[in-house]
Amino acid sequence: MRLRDIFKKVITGISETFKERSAELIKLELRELENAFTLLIISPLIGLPGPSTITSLRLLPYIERELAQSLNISRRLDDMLAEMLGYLDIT
Amino acid sequence: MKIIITVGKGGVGKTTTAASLGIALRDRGYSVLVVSLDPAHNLGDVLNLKSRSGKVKVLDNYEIIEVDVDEAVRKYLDEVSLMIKSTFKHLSVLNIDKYIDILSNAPGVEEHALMSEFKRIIEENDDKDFIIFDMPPTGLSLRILSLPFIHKSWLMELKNLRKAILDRRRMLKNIGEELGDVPIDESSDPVMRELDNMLKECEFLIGKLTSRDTMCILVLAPETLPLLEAERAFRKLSSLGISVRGCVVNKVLKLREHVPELKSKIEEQERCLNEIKKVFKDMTIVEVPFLEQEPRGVDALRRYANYIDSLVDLVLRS
Ligand SMILES: Nc1ncnc2c1ncn2[C@@H]1O[C@H](COP(=O)(O)OP(=O)(O)OP(=O)(O)O)[C@@H](O)[C@H]1O
Ligand SMILES: [Mg+2]
Repeated sequence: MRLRDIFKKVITGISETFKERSAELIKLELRELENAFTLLIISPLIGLPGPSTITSLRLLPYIERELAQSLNISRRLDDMLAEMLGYLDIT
Repeated sequence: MKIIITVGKGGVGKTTTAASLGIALRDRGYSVLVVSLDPAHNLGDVLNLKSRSGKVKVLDNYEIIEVDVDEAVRKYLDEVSLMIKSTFKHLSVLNIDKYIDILSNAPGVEEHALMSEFKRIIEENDDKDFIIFDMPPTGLSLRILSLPFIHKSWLMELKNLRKAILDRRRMLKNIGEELGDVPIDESSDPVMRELDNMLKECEFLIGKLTSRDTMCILVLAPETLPLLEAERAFRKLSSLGISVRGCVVNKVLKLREHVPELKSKIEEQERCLNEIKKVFKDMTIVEVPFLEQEPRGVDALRRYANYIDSLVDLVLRS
């Protein structure tokens, strides 16, 4: 194998891992943002400061999926730290 | 169309001032609608009316509405529940009407309903020269009037957050991630659309409230507590960009004879009057004496209007 090919392979390898890793990070970030959004929407309904009951009611129908996801996460909150550390490759 | 809003502590004479100012404007040839947004109405009483549901014509070009607040809350929640039903079709087993009763007591719902009545009334009465809103006592008034502003800042926050979410989704899609059936563009996102709808409503109201054609009039008695409250209201309204240009000092004691028992009361009033002239020096200030008879009914309100003449001029000038 010529040196250039090896080089190429290494570069692709690195960028593939990078892509995977950054995709994972963006996913994590996305989920956190979705959680924050959901939390803000439901706050007024559970007695926390938030936009307003009415805003919540008007948006609630559209955030069904996010709501389910947030509830799911809060149920296994204990795993969260492990999961985060896993993402960041700290073990 | 111009909007006038009377604000002040309970019992100082907001309703009397609103009704009387309305009659004065009507007598000068303008068409006037006076609206009471106070859950404890007394506009009808001040005008000595018997029938008082819906829009009541008191004189030619002079109509009044006492907004039924409970009804407004119900109507408002009905609208909201309709919206929810149309999006939650698959949940038709869930009887949302059952929850409406509970919701009507949720914090902030009354303010929302009153603000939405405010909007409906100015939209439906665009043909009037003046709409005068007689407000509830200061606290609730300020909550109602600041609602669109607070609401707007929440909506902006939510929009930013939503944008960030959509950005991440697009990024993931671009690098070939499978996201399932979720909106990734602002234009196709129903949440963004709903946020924009609400934002539009807020901006309409903010536009109206901060317009040159809208002004608040403070009503107060020359006493320490009403004055402090009026000052707070003034600061709050100004900070929102709502202009406060007139001030009615009502129930000023003017005695023909010396009454020793009232000496300290009169001194307090004088002190407060001086203070009022200092604090509200950029406003048109009018004084109304404490009248022997309660100013009720059209004729009495016309007499009351004589005292607030320069306020009528102010309203017509601006
Ligand atoms: N200048 C005056 N002299 C004597 N009585 C007055 C005067 N102005 C108002 N009143 C009376 O004081 C009472 C309260 O007035 P009004 O209902 O206008 O106040 P308000 O600020 O609207 O009160 P609320 O906060 O309860 O709505 C009424 O009975 C009214 O007739
Ligand atoms: Mg009143």
